[in-house]
Amino acid sequence: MALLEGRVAVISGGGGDIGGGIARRFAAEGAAIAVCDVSLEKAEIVASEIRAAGGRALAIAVDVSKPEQCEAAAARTVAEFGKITTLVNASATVSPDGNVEKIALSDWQRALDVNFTGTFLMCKYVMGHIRAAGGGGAVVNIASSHGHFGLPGRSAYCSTKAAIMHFTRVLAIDYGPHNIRANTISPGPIDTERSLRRYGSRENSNRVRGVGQVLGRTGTVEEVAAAAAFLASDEAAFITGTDLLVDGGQTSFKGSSLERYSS
Amino acid sequence: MDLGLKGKVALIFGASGGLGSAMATSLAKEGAKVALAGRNAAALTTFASSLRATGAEVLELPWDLADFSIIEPNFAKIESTLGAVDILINNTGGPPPSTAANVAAEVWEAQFHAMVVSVIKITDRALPQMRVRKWGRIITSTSSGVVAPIPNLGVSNALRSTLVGWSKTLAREVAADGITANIILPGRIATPRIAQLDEARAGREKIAVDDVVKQSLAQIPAGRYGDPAEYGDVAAFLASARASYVTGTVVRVDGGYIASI
Repeated sequence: MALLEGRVAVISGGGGDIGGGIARRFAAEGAAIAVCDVSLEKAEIVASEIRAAGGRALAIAVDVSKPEQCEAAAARTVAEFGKITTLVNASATVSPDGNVEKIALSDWQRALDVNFTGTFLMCKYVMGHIRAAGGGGAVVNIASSHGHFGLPGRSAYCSTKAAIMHFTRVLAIDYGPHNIRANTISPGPIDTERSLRRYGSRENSNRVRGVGQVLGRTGTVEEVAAAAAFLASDEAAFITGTDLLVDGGQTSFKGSSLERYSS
Repeated sequence: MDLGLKGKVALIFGASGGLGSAMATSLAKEGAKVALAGRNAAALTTFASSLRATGAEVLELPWDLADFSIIEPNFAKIESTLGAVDILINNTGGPPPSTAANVAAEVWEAQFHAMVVSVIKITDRALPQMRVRKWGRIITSTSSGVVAPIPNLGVSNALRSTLVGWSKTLAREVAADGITANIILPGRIATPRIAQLDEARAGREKIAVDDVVKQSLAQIPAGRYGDPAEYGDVAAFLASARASYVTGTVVRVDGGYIASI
């Protein structure tokens, strides 16, 4: 039975690896999808794949750090699909590594604007629509195992991921009375198109990043998307204000020398 | 395809590094007995254990290429433990980056000794047994710089190119004895060293390491770095019985990176 029948989901970062995987899975579970991404081209690729598989999808160019673009994306989704029931924030930016003396303020600010404020802004302009749709709703924000433990030289990225988790707790509190749930997913080492290009193959990626992990391998985008579909669905009706680690046990033990390949 | 490598004895240099370990792994997978040589004894032992865990017969040999006095005792050890060397994988570390101009003569000479003469002397020591048995493989792993010289790797480009001339000349001298000699060269293969270089460049240029990788990928037609296994497997093929008529050549494993013929 389709987990997300009749839902309309807005997915930021929907043209990316994790966002795209979530968009495809949600569509397969019966949801109509607004694929939002800073790259319209990438969003359109995901949207056309969904349509080719018989689903409904719309591609929208959105820079989540710009409030007017977030607002416009929400309005366009409602115009196209009639309502919004579900929001997934999966957009994040990479910034240069370094200690705080080396990090430029502009790079720090950009990470904040996209990763953290972007999540806030999408919620700001979408929550009202979810409330208006009635019947409850769900928000899934993508954090990271790196929001649980730190990485050398990545204060901006790690901080914003931890911030997203705490922000989502308050979101859950504020919208609980409307039966709108909000949770985060913290992915661990996942094979993305980007990481596969860097390691050359899934085999080498597993060999390098998977060895020493509890399950002896990296995770897949599909495994993250499965968790997102669960949290967005009625199966998770009593789950709100929490974080679901999808990290193959990475955070369950101390010390992993593989993080020199963090990406 | 039966590569005919079961029981063959391979001596691999730089065995604990990314490319060396990949070549050793590919050979061991095909049933070859592997002698792992390198400077970092601890890294060699770690790698040797992981190979033994797969059932391979492994001998580890801490080996500083610049020290020619240990060539004879090390070969004696291999011959008494695993058998005579059938397959020699020459794979040296590289010199520090430098321009081609204005490098001190002493630096040229020291690097020539460590990167070129060492390989030649080790090969000379392996050849007689190969000639007697009428079977041998000399595979010298170099760099894309021998075909398309890399800026700021002046000493490396020059000295590794020396081995290309040597390997081709050697190939024609030993061909009638069933010995092949070939050069393999990597493009961008995803080894720990390449990851380090990308991270160092990101730090220097104050950009995200992802952007460094993106720039590298833009020059690689395959759109990705190579899996070290893809390099190791080519070495294993050239070492195999199936490559018996391939000699005196230069094989690129670069995903199309080098643009010229």
